Amino acid sequence: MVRCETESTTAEARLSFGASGKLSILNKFLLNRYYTAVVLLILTFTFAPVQAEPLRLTIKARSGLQYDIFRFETKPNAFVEINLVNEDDMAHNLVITKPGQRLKVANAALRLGVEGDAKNWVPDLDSVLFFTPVLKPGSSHLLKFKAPEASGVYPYVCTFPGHGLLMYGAMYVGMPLPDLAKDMNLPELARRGNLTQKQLHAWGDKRPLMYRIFMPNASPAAVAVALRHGQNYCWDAAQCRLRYVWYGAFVDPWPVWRGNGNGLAKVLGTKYWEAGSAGAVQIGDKDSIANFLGYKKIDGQPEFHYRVNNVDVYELITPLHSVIGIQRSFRIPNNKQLVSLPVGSVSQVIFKHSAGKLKEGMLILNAAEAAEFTVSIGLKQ
Amino acid sequence: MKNTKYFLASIVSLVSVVVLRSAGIGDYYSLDNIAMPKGLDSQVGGLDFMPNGRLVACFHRGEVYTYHPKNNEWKLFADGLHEPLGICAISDREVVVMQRPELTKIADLNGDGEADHYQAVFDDFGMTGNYHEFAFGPAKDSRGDFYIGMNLASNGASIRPELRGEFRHYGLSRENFKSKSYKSSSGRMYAATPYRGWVLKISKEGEMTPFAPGFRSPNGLGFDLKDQLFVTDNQGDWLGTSKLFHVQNGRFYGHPASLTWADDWQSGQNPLKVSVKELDAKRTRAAVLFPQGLMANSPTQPITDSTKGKFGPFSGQLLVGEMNRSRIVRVILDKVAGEIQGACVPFYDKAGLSKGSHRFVFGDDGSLWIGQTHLSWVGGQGLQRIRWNGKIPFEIHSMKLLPNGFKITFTKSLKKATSVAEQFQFKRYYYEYRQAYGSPQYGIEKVKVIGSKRLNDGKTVMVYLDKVNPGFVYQLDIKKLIAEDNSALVNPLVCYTLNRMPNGDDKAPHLVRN
Repeated sequence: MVRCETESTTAEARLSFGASGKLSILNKFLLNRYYTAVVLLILTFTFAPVQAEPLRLTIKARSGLQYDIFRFETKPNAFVEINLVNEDDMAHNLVITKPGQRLKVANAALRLGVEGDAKNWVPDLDSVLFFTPVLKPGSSHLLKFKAPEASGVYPYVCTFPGHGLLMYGAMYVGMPLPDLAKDMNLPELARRGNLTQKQLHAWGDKRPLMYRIFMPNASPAAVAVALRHGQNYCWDAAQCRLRYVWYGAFVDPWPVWRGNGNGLAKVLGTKYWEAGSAGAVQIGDKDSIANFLGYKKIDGQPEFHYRVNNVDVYELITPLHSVIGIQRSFRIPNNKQLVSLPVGSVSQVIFKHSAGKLKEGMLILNAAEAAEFTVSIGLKQ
Repeated sequence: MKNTKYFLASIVSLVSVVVLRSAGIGDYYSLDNIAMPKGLDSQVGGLDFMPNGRLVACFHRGEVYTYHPKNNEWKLFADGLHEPLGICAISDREVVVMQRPELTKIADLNGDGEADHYQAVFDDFGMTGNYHEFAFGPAKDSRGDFYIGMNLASNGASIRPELRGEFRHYGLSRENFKSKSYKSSSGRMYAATPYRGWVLKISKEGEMTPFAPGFRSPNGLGFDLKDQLFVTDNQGDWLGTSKLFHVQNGRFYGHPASLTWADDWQSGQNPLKVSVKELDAKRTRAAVLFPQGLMANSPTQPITDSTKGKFGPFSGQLLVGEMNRSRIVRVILDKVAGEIQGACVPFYDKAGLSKGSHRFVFGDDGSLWIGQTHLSWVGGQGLQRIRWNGKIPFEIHSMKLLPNGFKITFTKSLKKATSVAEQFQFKRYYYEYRQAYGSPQYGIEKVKVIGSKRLNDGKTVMVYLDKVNPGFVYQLDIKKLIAEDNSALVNPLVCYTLNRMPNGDDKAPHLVRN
């Protein structure tokens, strides 16, 4: 018996929101593929001596660092053909590892550094069994292999830097699939059905994406932003400061949108930095208040504009590329005073700054340094 | 045989009744449903037209789309807004949107059709995070200044741990808002941060003037052709029934929660502890009351018929949306002794109209575009368009107070056989001004027609009544009225809010209970 599993809960959620024809087609397609697989298996048993038909699967890489099929079953030594289709706007691959070796392989890929691109971000390890090259957006690759002889749960993972923590699935060889909700071999969102996949807008998945919406641990004038590479942050437009950062899926806005706004959006991913009491940039007078003036969209990402002590400050937050993390790019062009940026607790993250001196939770910069500087917050793995 | 005769006779009378009743607004106006983008939650927060003829609309989940009526093309203009409830087009590339936290100017500077700059025009007002703190408007006056309405918070929920702006509530400390019993002292609707319950003026240069306090849920701001601002408010605490106010700078419109944010308010004084008589003396009464259950329960945007006749015979009058039923109300204003008061009459009932008509805009061709919403209350969603077909409906056109009655003008000449005394049935009642939620109708009594006169135009009737006093709604139900061309009166109900007599007498002590 061959079974592959996709996010059926997702499809249902979409349908209840008025699905487009495309989605119904997707459903039919999945059903057809299911029957095809069953038929193929029957054929296999009927003509046992003849070489078995391979198990054919299409796995799509989707935005939000996800594979659309997050687990499937096969028999030991069965032939498998995975057509990996990259529907995302970032590069992805698919690497099948020995049982329990997903993180080890993903982390080894991270360490490839400058050699990574040439090696398709696949490290030279025995733990790597099969892999596709890195696929550009819109391309596909057919990966053919013979399933291992030993029964077990074989992870598949995208080893492109920063993706491996979130973007993975599991191939069950000669083993039954456990209950979905209890399947610890899957990303958390796959286990609980992916809420971000509800059709909430006339467009499909999209990153960058920004909502001004009620958020937990922020003022009522909060901003939530989904960046590429599965990065997300909450910025506070009342206080002009970054509040927290998380990776993985974005937010579930439904508690706010389902009615009259009485509720908070739910953070879906994993939070790894929070500002706490670290306030906005200070310029000159320490008691100065920051005034929010708006934002400009650069490549879909907001560059916030606010004024502190009558000095204009611009802050653009972008994802890091080689690790899970974000970069805050500040511009304070017309300023003659000392600038201090409270950075909060940074001992649990990889914190970097392009200029200035870090002193007691404050990044201190002179006016020239502050004209353009960056700080980055990366996840320690 | 006899039975058959009766049967036939009753069929004939039934048919004639049906014929009479079938004079609906749908005979004079046609309605289209506009197809919306797939996947969009099409609850409309605001509607306007850009100079290039594109409709621009904002929606519940923060999107702003443009729509071209020529090719029915929807195009995303902006997104990510927090419950936008009003939009005003400035140019083909710029709109100003009122969203929960901010009045925002949104511009497409690079000209690719999608906005790239979001400028905070005004955000210097408070937020507690309470869901009921909606922000309404902007309405634009002839100078280009904006007017916005700040909803009160509801004690259906408390305040959040983090606020924007100063906290001030003279009945309850911030700490006590966390206790379960906060409702007993917060007031049903409360104003714990600045300018909740106010209409604010934001000049086009960005300067704010606290314009007028006293509102509860001012979900509808609009100007008439004389640059006069009208604002609707919803039945609830301090509002016996829903209202339309003529809003002027410095006046107080009745809901006291907002008063703590007035410059001259005595610090520490809880507005809920001020006597109702004192508040009544301070307030300006509504220009028009919408009797609850009869006319409207949740009025929305007032829009002036600025089409110069392209939309029918009501040029210059106001139309007002209503959330709870498939209705648009028409408002007939009457200036009496220097103050505006007036009447309301159903304008568009059913005939394809959705519930929840929330926002309106007139197209250049004189068609009325209507956006619906519900926000989880009674209402609808989507976009509709009403066009006049050129036939004049037989309607009450205007109603003017006389010292001893009303002068009522219809859109067509009345049939000669009209008996005003029998067919024009008046009654009057009032709504108390009080803290409790809503008010029953009090003092309900029939008012006798003691005389009438038809003017030579054939359309105008002077109706003289035995009791004409300030502080009452005069409700007129007109029975079986037929025009000379045999058309039936489409909307036979009109409610006139009599605040003030032509001699200026506006004393109405009965509105406040002793």
